[in-house]
Amino acid sequence: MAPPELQQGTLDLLILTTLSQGALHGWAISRRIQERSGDVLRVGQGSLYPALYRLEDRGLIKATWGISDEGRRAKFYTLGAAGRRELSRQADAWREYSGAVNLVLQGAGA
Amino acid sequence: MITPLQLLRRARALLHGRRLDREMDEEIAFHLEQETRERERLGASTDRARRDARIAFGAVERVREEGRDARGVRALYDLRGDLRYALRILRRAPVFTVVAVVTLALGIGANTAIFSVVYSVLLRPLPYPDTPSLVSVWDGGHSRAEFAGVRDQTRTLQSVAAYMPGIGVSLSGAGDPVRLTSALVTADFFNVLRVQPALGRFFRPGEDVVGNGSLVVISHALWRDRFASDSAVIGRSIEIDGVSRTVIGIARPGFSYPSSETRLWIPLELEPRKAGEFWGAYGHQIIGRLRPGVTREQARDDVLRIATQLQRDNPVWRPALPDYLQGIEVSGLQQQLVRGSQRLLYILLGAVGLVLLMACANVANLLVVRGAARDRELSIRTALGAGSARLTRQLLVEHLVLAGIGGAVGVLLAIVGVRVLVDLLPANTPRLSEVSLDAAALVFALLVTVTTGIIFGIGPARRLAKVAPAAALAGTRVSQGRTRRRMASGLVSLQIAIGVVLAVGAGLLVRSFVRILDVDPGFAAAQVVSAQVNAPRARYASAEQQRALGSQILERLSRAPGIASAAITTQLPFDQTNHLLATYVEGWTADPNKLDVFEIRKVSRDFFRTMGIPLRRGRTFDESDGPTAPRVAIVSETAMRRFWSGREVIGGQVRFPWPGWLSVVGVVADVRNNDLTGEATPAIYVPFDQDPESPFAVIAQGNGGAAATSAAIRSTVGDVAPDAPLSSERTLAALVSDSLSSPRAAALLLVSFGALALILGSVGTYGLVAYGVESRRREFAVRLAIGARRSSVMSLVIREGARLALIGIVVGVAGALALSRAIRGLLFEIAPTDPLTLVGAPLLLAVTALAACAIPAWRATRIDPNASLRRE
Repeated sequence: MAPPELQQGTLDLLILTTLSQGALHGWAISRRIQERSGDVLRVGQGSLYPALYRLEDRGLIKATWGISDEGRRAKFYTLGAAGRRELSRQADAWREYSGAVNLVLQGAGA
Repeated sequence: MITPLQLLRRARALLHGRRLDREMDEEIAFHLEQETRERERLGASTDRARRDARIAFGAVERVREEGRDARGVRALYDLRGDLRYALRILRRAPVFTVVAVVTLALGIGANTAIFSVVYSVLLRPLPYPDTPSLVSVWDGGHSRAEFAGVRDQTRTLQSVAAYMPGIGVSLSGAGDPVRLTSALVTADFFNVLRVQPALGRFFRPGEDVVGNGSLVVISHALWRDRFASDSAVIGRSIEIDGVSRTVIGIARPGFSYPSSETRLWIPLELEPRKAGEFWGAYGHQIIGRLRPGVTREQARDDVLRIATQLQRDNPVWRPALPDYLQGIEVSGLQQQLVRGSQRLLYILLGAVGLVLLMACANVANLLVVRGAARDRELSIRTALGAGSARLTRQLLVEHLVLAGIGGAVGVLLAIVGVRVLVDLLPANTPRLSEVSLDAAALVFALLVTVTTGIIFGIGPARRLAKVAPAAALAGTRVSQGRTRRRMASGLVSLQIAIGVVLAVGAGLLVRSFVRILDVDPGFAAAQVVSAQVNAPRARYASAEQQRALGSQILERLSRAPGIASAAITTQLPFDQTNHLLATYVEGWTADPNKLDVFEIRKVSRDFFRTMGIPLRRGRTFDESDGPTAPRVAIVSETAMRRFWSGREVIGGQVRFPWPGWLSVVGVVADVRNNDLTGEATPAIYVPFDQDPESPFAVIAQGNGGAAATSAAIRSTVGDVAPDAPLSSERTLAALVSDSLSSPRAAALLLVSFGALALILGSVGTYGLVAYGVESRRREFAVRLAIGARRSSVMSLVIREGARLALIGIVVGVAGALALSRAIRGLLFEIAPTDPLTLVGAPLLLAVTALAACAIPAWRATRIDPNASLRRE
């Protein structure tokens, strides 16, 4: 089965969640999402960076240049206060939404 | 929703665009490196890992642009990039850029200049408050009595005034005597226009009645130049035509209605008891303000009612004419002022619009042709992920930049062009002194520029953006070349069609102008110099004084060295005045109330000899026609034919609206007055000595040239009457030439536009045919290689050009015929379907087009088959 397409809102939520545990650079974010989802979710790099820039533009995450584990210059993203608020809001909304979908699925006996 | 903070970030993003881009590149590179390393770690070879990492990432360019998109600055960023790219591209093709910019600059510049004039003369509201309510009451010239009738009986006008424009007066008592233009105005004149004085006051009601003091209002320019802007001039007396008048007010700067030369406003005296002046002097313009809510139609009906009343009350004077109630109009003052200039200006605007269309076609053509050279560049960009919309926009920006440069240069050209136009247009064009390249013209130039850029740019941009990368990169251009050539061919035919329309227009106007020049004015104007002698009225009030002044001047002048003959006349042909007098012809005028109007000139003995007007019958005036001798007259041929047909004219009796019969003693040839295209009107001449008048003009002919003759007149009049300033010193040839300024301007401007069209058309044709030869190089090489003769290759190319020219010519002639109605009113004795023009103009275009084909055709024959085929 091909990995499901991530919707924009979902990707934002995943990025925010991933960043809630500390600063990461772009490549690490995509690896982390892939690993955490047990290789189910793959973030197309083509959508990752635009999503990062969009979040940055909205003031939810901040970007700073730092040094990677290998000693290379890399751009690290961190979650700001506004980002944390947005994360908890989106996470609640998601839980509510997926819970509701689950209930429907269970009700149908699937 | 965009928050202010976001806006700030975007602004910063835009400002630091290049840095952010670099950072993005670095970030992407870092990502690819990480990915490659990861894949290597999982066992892939270095090369394979690198390749897979790239594939997994996707199109870098797209990510980059989406990244910019996400930052919300993509549009702005792209625009900046497009601009920079456009400038680079244009710099890289200097010949193309210069040709395109010059073409556009000429088109936009000419349009902006003509628009400036059209706007200033025809469209810009008059500089008076509430112009829509300002009307010309009863269009045409009227008598003071008719004005008084309207003023006293109107129900639709809140105020009404009459004026007599362009009255020359002599000002003395403030420096040297000087000749100035004044206007005679009724008391409400300034009130109707709603203008305020800069200083002092304007006339009050009743101050236009005789005996209420002699007053005058002066213009700001006169106040500045003659009175050093001294406010003490208010209340002072100045001498105008020998009459002392009190200055009561100074007009605001720039106010000079009714003509730009007006320096003085003198009350028009309304005196019903002087019936001849009150009823018989026409030429007064009547203006008024409509009452709120009143339409022009209602005002017209009102005037018609008043005119009907006048007709009932005053059967003797003009109201008695049978067609008196015909054609009464009330029109907007602005429309009425510009009516005479409208047609010429709109035709010029139309013609110059065609030139612009042609310039657009030309540049579009250049772009399409040049597109061939850009296929590769555009293909590479497409292959790198630039979308078709993106490329279209890029190209459109490029074309708008081109238009923008062309527009900027065009505005510079227009600044010069407006000055040239003001000099070239007839001096009697209203509001010509107000013409300037103002904000409206700049807005117009901007709109034209943008529209131009879109018109010539969008077609080629869309076409070019549709390149098929693989084919173009592989060097296959055949199919592209063909569609492109078809488009360019259409543009060339369009240009030739427009060229034909303009050339036909120019040809018609030139032919018409030549016809006008062929008209015999009725006198030999070559060396005759004239000057008006403006004797102060108060000091030369009596007939004896005027007669003595005339004979003294003539006596001295005819003795002056180098003067062959000299004479006096009260009206000079082509001085832009009409002296018309109601005349009764015995035996012809059955109804004593019916008026026949003659042009009247009071002339001295040698007038006909000096002017070179041939005598047809009887005699000219001589010594026997002195002040006390029996009254005599000479009539023109037209008058003889109309009023004495089948009767003996010599000895015929005529009289003016006052008692006293005159005997006709001679008939002279017709003389045109003011307008060579008009009909000759009946004219009557009476001896100056028997009925003197002032002011009058002195004319003289000498063998020392015009300047010497002019000097002789000046010194003679200066000796005889130092208090009488001279004005309008001109040669008669110059007067006649002045009357031709309108057809001359029309012909000259259309010829310029036609020439421009011819140049543009040949550049366009040349460009297309040259491109055609270039893109068919291989075909020609093959033909030559398998034995085609060079002449047949040449005729192949020429035939292609001839086909385009033919299509253009057919369309152009059809267009010229369709537009013929518009130009008819400017033509004199030439039909808009004049065969010579309709054949000649297309022929000219055809020859030009073929000449433009010749060079590329010749080049086609020089193709070296060997070298060409090896190159492919």
